[in-house]
Amino acid sequence: MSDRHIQFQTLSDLYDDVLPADEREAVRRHLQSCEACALEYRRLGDTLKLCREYAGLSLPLDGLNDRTMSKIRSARTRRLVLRSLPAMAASVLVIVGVGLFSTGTVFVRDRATVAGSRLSYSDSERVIDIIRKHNATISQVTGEYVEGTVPVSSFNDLKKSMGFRRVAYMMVDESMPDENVHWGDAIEEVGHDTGQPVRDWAPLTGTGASRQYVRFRVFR
Amino acid sequence: MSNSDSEDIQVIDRVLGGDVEAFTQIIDKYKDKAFNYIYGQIKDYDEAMDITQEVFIMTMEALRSFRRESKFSTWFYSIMVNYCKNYRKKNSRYNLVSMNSSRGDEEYDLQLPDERENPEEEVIMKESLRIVRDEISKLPDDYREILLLRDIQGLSYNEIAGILGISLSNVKVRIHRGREFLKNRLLARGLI
Repeated sequence: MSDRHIQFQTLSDLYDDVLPADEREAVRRHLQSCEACALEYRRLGDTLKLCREYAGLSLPLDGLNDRTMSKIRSARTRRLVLRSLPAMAASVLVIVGVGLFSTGTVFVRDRATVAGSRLSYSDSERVIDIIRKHNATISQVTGEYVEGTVPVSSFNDLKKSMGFRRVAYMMVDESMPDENVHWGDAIEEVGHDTGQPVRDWAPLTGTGASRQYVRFRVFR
Repeated sequence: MSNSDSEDIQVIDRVLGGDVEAFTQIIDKYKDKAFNYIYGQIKDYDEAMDITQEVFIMTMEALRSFRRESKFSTWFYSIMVNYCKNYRKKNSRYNLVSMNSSRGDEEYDLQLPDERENPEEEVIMKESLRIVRDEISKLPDDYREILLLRDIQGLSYNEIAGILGISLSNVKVRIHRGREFLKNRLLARGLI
């Protein structure tokens, strides 16, 4: 080591303290006896000291927080509105459809059978009204159930307002596409019509802080 | 996990839980470092401000995809570094300003380098730091990128390898060469 000058990469490694212990000691001994290498090491140190000084400058970033948060809020509002449009359209269509069905405007071959398995018009309206009052969006309405999504914080109140209905639900991610929602084992069904008010609501299943919404189906 | 990392995770959980305003804490914590890096790469104050803003918005929108397999800061820097790379690819090296001019009946546009004063000039009081800034900006792309991450941002070799998607030995080589390059330039300018 003492015969040859130290390569710059070794000096750089020494500066970052990433040399193996034995090599580190050998390089340090060399620096004590070789003026040229010691000078090179000092220059490296001076260079990096200037870099740190430059990095420590606090440049004026006036309004960066406000402008960024304002854009984030706008984008979020826009996304929420866009997300609710199909649900609102579906609600209107279903209300009209159920209305036509209940007034007999739509011909159904086996009306008694079909009607027996469906939510009645007035019942559908009631369910939809309750859902809307709880900050929920409706994504699907069929003869058997009304499906929607609601923030976790509003779900317990929504369930209590549902009264004697069967409600299946699961926790979902806001951005989870419908095809990824599986109504399998994750479903708990609560609120069977036993003739008694439902008192013990089952705890929500699903884990992860990102699951902040509840997808639910209110059955007949 | 360090205190800083667990603080980040707590804030992220709050944001994902619906408290969007908590994201201001992330902006506050990382804005200076992010801007320093972006400005070092873009060299235009106003554009660097816009890009810094875009990087934070992109981070917020992608927050659900953060798998927590790495530190949040590493993930954030990856977004920032890639954004800058793409931006630099799409844009020319120098910022140009348009100037209409005319000669006789003929009108034509002149494209000139933008040399307007920027707010940084008022902050950098020491000539030595202006030289450092200029010489960093003149480094070859690969060396400037790694020097900004290592010696300006203070990231570890491992973090840099993760952010840039290169091997640890490659990180070391680039750091050595970048430092040597800068040291020689500062020596030539009489600064060291």
